[in-house]
Amino acid sequence: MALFGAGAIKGLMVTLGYIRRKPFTTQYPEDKLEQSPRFRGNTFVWYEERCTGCATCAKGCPLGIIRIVTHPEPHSQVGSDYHVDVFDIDTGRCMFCALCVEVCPYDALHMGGDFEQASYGREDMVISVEDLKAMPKKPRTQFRPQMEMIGHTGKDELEEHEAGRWSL
Amino acid sequence: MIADLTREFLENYLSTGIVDILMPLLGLFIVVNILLGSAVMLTYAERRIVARMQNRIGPNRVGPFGLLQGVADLMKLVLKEDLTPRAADRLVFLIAPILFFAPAIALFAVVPFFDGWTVADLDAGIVYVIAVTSISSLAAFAAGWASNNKYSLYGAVRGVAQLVSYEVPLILAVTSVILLSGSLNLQEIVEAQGIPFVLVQPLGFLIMLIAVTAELNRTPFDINEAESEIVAGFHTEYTGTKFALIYGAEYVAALGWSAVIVTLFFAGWKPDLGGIIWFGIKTSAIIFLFFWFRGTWPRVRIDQMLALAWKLLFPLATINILVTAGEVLAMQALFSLEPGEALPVAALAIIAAINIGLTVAVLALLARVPGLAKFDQQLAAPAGAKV
Repeated sequence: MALFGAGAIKGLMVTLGYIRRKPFTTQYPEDKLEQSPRFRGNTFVWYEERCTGCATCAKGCPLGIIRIVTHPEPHSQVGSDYHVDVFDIDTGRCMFCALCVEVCPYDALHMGGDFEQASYGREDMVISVEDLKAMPKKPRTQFRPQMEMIGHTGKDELEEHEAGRWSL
Repeated sequence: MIADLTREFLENYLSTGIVDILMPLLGLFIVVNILLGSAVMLTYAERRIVARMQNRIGPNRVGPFGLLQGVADLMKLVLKEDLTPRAADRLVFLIAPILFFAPAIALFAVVPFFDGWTVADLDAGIVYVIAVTSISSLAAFAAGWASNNKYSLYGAVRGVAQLVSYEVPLILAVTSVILLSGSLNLQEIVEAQGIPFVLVQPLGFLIMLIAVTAELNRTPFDINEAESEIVAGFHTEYTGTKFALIYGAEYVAALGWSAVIVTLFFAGWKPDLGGIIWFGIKTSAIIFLFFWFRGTWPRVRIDQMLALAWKLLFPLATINILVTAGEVLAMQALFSLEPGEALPVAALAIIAAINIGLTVAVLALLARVPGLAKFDQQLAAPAGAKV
């Protein structure tokens, strides 16, 4: 280095070069980053037709925040012979471990991709069975990597026979 | 000019005596308001510029391009609760922010914005600048002591060590300019600059720039409010309006010192290209330099900082004065001038040629000193940059 201060000037030139670069910032509400297909949001995708009401998800939940109530409904048109009356998931206490999704024997429950579920009260964070039915059927591939083989990235809606490790 | 027009307008309605009192107050009103407005805008400008240096966007939500961010911040600070710690010295705690702000504003009294545009055309203008700005070290210490908080006191003690140390090379660098211009009046210093003194006094300019960065507590010399070490230093306990005063004063002082540097080294309002705008452009360029430093360099340690002041800048500034004095005497003999007479452009050009050569030689010599070379190397790589 020839002159004292050349190092300081070199440092200044680095930051001056950075001014011309495009900022990395994503302007969140307007622009959103693309999520990974296995992203776990705080919603769930539930296929009623695949569900038997076995409550394995409720047993698998480490926090015990899933409550399922069923009643027998023989020869039902939808799913099994049990009808799901209550399917409460308290996402206010959920830690998004996706163990409920992993243990589901019929691949009826999937993680959803929505993360904008802020609310004014804890009671509003409980997902009811009506909410689950109304949810857009865009399952994430967390614990269901086989869905990526048919080209699913979590962005499109899937029919119940397409979702899961095996087709119905 | 505008001043004369206003005076004529006012004299239609008021007696001459009242107008004589009113006119300086009117000038003061305009200058102070422009200053406060620019301080608010400078906080925005700094945040945007430093953000771009860090590949971010910076505040862009409040108003068009985020231009009203400073206004929003100010409103928030003014509306906030004004807390005073229970153990604080209440009177000194209250006075310190005012003491911090007043000299920053008072600095502008002597700044020559344009030919004849000065609030107070003092003959000892540069002495006034140095005297008034020294008060800020007292204010920083008063703030730190009155807060009765260990971090505040650490910051205050560091601040005093720093400000007192850098005052010395600062004044010595200013002295070399005074030797060249033969006047303490800032207006006359501007007129004496046939060639901008940055070319005639390159070493003096570098010393002045480093010393002013330290005087302003700006990065890399912001150890007295080092947020990663001592919370916020001397203003840790300040909230609301008092904090706004301290925060604003730093920007007003940065503006003031930039204006003084432009006056001393960049020929002030000369050459006359559109009046005050030219002076404003130069001042903004110096302020950008301070923002640029903040975006680039890491904070120095206290021992590095004091060593830089006493072992490097102080001897260099002293030698610079001796050399400049010799050169001025030689030029006076060569061009047969009276003592105190302004040097002609030819004399300045000769001195500039000698001094630029000397500065390059001194910098080359300093690069051979192992400790300094290592210090310089530290500044070459900003955090996270690939070098």
